[in-house]
Amino acid sequence: MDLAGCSPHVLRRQYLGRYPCIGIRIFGSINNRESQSQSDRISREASRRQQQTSKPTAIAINSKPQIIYHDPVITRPTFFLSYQTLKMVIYSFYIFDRHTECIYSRSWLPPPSQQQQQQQQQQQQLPSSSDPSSQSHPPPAPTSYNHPTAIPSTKSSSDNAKLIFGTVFSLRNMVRKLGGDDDAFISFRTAQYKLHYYETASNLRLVMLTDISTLSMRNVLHQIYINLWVEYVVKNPLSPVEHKGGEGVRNEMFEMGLDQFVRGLM
Amino acid sequence: MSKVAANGGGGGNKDQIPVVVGGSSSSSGGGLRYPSNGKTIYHRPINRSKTTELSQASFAYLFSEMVSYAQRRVTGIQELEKRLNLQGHPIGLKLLDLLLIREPPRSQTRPLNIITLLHFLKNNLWTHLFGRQADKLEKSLNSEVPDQYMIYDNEPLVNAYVSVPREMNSLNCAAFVAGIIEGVCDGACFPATVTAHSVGGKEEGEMWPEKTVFVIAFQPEVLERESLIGKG
Amino acid sequence: MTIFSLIIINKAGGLIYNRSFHEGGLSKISTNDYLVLAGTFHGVHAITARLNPLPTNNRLSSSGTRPDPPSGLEILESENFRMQCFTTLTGIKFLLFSDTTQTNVDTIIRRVYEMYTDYVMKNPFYQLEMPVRCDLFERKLLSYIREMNSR
Repeated sequence: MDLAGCSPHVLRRQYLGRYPCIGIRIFGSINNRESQSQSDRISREASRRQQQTSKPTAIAINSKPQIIYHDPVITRPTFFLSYQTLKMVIYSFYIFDRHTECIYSRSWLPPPSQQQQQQQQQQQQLPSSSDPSSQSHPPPAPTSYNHPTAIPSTKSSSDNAKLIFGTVFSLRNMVRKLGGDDDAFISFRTAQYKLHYYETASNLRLVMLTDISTLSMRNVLHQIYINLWVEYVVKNPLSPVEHKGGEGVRNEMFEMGLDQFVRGLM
Repeated sequence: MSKVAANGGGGGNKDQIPVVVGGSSSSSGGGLRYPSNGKTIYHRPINRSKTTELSQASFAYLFSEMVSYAQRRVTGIQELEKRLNLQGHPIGLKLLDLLLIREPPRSQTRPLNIITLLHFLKNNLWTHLFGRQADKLEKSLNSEVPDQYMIYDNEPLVNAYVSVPREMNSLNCAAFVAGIIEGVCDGACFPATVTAHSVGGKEEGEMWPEKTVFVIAFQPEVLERESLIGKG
Repeated sequence: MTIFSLIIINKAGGLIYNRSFHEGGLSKISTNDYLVLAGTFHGVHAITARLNPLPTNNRLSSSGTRPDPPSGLEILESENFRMQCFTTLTGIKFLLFSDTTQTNVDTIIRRVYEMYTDYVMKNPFYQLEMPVRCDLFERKLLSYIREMNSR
């Protein structure tokens, strides 16, 4: 099954066909991860999830199970509008602090298809053909599709972050030079992907990579800053002022909120 | 682009030329064989497709290389123009023959006075080479050089893509065409020196920035002969 | 709809042409800055081609055709302008700066490329990879862009 070329909802359906109880797995994993946290928080998260995410709804439509909750949102017309008109695909998301360090990165890329897995396995078996730039980590199990594959902290992904920062930094300076000091770099696109950029007043830089048909994501990045970063990182009393090595960013609330928000868009 | 590359086409690739001999293919006679309708391979271009057009781009690249070739080891602009002129000269010599043989038999004579020659250049030669007539024909009004003649071309085809750098601004690559004209004149026994000069204004909004004049200065003996003919 | 300026970068990252068509579109920077900008952009362009997040399959696809290699930056948008980059098969980059509402940039940039092939590449006095100083190119380009800007 080749997933790379699929549009997002087709892709989702294919997975749903194979893993109809995917919603359960989500909650299972949440329970595992927050085994110490209070149960009321879980239920709060669950209800929020019901209202925001599109995925459980899609499951409810397609596999008609009783195992998942009834979603009241399904009747909301705006939901269908957004689901059908905005078929955007978000690949990955990065945050850079004012010291140019990548303090957070996350990828929503689907795992490699079986064909590619085989190819990768073949490549791994061949000792000479180890390409450091290719994704050499073993592909995650299909069940983990619904979890964000947080970009593994391998050398290649940190290199990627550095390259992305170098690119946006150069382009931002170029834009400022040409368009004047009040100008701001918004996005660029190649034939394969589109990169969106948002810079806050405190020199925090948010970068998102999407497919090329996606329209401007400036508002989305702004929303992420206001509703997630400020709420869950800045206002978090346990979070340090400087996020060296991503300290304080990878907290439960922020990660989950970001995942829900992005999946709601897709 | 008209027929620049088709000139002298008679001696070209025999494979492309249909056999025009009526009937016998025996090698009995030898020499030139004439078809029944009297039209030999010299009477029409090799390229017989409906639009007898050639690619202007390929000519432009060829001409570009010709100029680069002429530019090697030259000391000045005059020498460069001289070399371009020499490249055109043999073409002119051959073209005179070719163009005359394509004329209807009645007018198949070479030009015998200057005016006929100039009209032959302006009409026949220009149409054959560039697909249109030259834009203007003039006699010099300057009393010091009374017998110079000028042919104007508003946008010479050879210069269509040529931008002459500023430090060589007296150069005009149409010296190649001047060489062709010179060849025709020489072949018709009107020995002359032909030079090409840019006269188009370089200002903005100029209608013909590439306007070129070909100045034809005949040798004194030509003028002498011309005056004798005029008297007779 | 206004076209601000055009930059041509050769395959080694050197600036070979730079012309502004509209006053006040972009801030004026020195020629030296333009040279630096061309070099920087050349590097960034190469990086953006490598940043492709999708897994690339280098093998021939089922239809037997080789997939296109990842392209570099094609369109850049900022609040004040929009830049389109067209890379020729020979690695020359045409950068066309316009205001954000400009349409038809694809056609315009193609036409500019055509003019380049005509009036620069067919010019016997142009040396490859060197700065473009061709009167004809300049003249045709200016009149074409002026026509586009006055629409």
